Amino acid sequence: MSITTENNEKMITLMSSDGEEFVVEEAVAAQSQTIKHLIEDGCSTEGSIPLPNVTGRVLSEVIQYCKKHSSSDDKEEKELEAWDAEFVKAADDHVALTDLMMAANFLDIKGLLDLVAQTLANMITGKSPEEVRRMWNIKNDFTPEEAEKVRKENQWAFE
Amino acid sequence: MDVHCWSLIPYMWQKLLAVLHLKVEVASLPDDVIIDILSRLPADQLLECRRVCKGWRALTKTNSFAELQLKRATPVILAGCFDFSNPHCIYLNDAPEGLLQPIRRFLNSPLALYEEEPNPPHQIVELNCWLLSSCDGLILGIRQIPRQLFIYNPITQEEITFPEVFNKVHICGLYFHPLTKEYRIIYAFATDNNNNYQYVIVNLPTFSWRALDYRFYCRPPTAKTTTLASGNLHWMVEHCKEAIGVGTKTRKDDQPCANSILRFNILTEYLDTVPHPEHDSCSGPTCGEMQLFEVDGNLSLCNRRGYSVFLWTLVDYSSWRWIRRYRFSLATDLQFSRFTLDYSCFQCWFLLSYCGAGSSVLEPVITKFTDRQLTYIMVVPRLWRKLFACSYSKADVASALPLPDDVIIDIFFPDDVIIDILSRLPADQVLQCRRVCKRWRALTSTASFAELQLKRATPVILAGCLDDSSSYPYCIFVNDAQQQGPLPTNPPQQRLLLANTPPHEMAEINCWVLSSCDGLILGKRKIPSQVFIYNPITQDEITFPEAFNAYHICGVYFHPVTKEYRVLYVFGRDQFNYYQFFIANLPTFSERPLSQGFNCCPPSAEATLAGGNLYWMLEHRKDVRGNPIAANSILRFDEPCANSILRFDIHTENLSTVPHPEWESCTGPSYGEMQLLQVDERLSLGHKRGHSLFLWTLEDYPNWHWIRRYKLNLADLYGPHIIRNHRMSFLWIKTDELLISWGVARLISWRLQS
Repeated sequence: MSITTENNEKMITLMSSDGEEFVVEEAVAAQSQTIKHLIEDGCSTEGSIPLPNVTGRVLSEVIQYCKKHSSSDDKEEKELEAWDAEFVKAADDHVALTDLMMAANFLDIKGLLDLVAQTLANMITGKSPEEVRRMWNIKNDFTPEEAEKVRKENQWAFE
Repeated sequence: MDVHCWSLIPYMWQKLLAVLHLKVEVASLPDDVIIDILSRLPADQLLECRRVCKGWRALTKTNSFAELQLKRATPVILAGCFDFSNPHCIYLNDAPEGLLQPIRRFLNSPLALYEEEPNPPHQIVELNCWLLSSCDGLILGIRQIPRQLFIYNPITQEEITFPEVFNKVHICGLYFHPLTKEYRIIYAFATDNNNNYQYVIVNLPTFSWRALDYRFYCRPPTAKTTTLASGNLHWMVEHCKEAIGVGTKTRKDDQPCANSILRFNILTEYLDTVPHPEHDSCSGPTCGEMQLFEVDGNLSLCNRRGYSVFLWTLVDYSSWRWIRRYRFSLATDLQFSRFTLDYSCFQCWFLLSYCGAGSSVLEPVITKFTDRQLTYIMVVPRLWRKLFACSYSKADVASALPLPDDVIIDIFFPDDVIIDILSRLPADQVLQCRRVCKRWRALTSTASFAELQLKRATPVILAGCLDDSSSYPYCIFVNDAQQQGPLPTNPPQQRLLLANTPPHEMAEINCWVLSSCDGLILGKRKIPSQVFIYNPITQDEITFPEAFNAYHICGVYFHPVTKEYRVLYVFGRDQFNYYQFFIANLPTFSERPLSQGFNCCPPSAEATLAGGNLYWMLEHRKDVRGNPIAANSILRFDEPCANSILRFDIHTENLSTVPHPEWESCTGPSYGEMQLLQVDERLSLGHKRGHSLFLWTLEDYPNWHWIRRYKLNLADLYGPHIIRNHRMSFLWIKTDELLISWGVARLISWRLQS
């Protein structure tokens, strides 16, 4: 639904997979390339934009990020960096970050994608393969012989 | 303690290591000549030639070679045929003369290439074999007993069979993704009863997959081959009222003809629909009678209306403009009866793609087949890329393939997200992650992943150090700290021992690093005397043939077109100080001389890579000045400053000289105090003049325009006597911090202010 506020900002409505609706300024939402294309295609005029892959909890975080970054032109870059650091810290664990990563990937928000990907990469750093598997519930599909072979290939990294 | 530093980027080095320790005699023909010759051979002959020698084998195994050979190869026609004497056979015509040659029978499935043979041994199996698509000479097919999908390479007779789950989906086509250099398959399955199809892309041979993030209301084509033209795959969409090729959002049921061709861009992997020719005036149902094919690289379409056949060509791809090129009548021109028309003629049009659409050429081919029921004809180029180089076992195959039964697509990260995250890790951590699971291992083992990881990696500093206190007199230290803060001012802590170095001290002292590229280290040791390339992450090493000990090695670089590592070196010098430059390919060490000669020799210091060029400052001596003496160039002995920097373009592999900044007013001898370095991917130059240090940056490459960015007073840092007495080198600038190595055992980091 397109509505216009007092300051003539065009507003659009986003609907999460669990039916929650968020009304945001178009400029904020357009940081997502996916939404931007939907708006350009005229989808926003017919009602709310459905985002079937994103839950309300994650979407509210994403919108929080987009708001901060759309109004940041006059702000110090350092402050924004600090805000970003706090933002991913607040996401608390890798499960929440994983959700956020999927949303950023689906919505195609480059800044957020970079931020979360780097955070996840930092989390992986220093972990053994077993810890990484546990972190994301990945099945170890190497046979013991294969695992040994792979380990030998890369010996130096494990010292 | 004497300090030498090189910058280094961690990188996984794979290609090179696959073919280690090849010491090939220098062939009499240069590589490019050999490649030119061999790429004109048909594929089966090429396989023979690979057995000639290791050098040939290496030359013919590159991607660039396969591409060249493919471009030059004559297409082959495969014709599947239902014949009452031999229930179902596949025929092959690979005569270079053209279509008029008889077509040989080609029995597949334990696939052998037979000459005409009266009793094919496996008739039942033959009957069950069906070809779906082809790409670069690979054939994608399906057989019924045992029921499985397979990809077959007719030249090497190798076959990949697909896991059973693929039997349930609609396979749309096989293609070669040009960026990642991987073969991929696109398939579709219905997500509901409304002909709503989900399209999925599968990477071979790992079978990792990615679902396209939109769905299509159209049935994917079955038993029709795809047509590749202008980097897109095309299918005619099945024409039925409720299933029309449009996106989920705008379902234009009233415009079937405007969406009658489904198009898939193999680069962007994006699906959309486009109209067939004359769709405005089309009444609809005839779409099913249309057939796509390719003529001279253009998409073409043939449309039968009664006994008339119209041939269209897409002359302008971007504006989607079709032109009607030919029209002929089946009854009068080709003397078809009504009966044969119904059965067979339609598949015949595929042949047009090769004949160039002349009915006179068409005729003999058709008469060959009109008494049989043709099932398909495909035009297949003659070589394939290295699909079968990677082995896999069926057990590997993704338990996670999305299937009609369990449509769980978002259960975990798609491939590109995993790649995005893992490419931000340092190289040693990537190696750890390879052990997590097979999918991760496959994803991180591609060349495109290595490229991405390399671009994102933080450089590390290598410092060679003569240390009296340590038990190792000469050690190489590495600093790979990830922190952004100030650089350490004393030699970093972690000791890196070069592989294959015996633990005794003498060997250490003889090890010298010459240059680095993508995290590989090019070095030289004295006992045993040899030049080597070392990968510190995997600890693998290639040693060079002995002849290289006598050469002056200038640098190692990655040739972007052939994706090969190459070494630039100098050998030979006559009384006029004429130096001959050579390039050697790794790992074959085949060499070729550069056509230009120079009467100057670059120092064996590390070359600076910026903007696709390698740079060296030339030694400034009266008798040896940096003037090119290529056959037609002018000698400029009076302008040493105008030729003070030697430049090597790693793409074209040409050498040239360029001036240093302010060269017009330069008196000459001072440029020995200049040093090149790279700042933010730009070429920069540090110039010490007395107590001042000037830093220049090349702002405009084509016009060779330098800007002076910083001026430092060195006397502020140390007393004037130190400046005079000790040699200094600039190493690195990052985020306004300059690192200087200074005389004895000093690394100084300096905060820059413009």
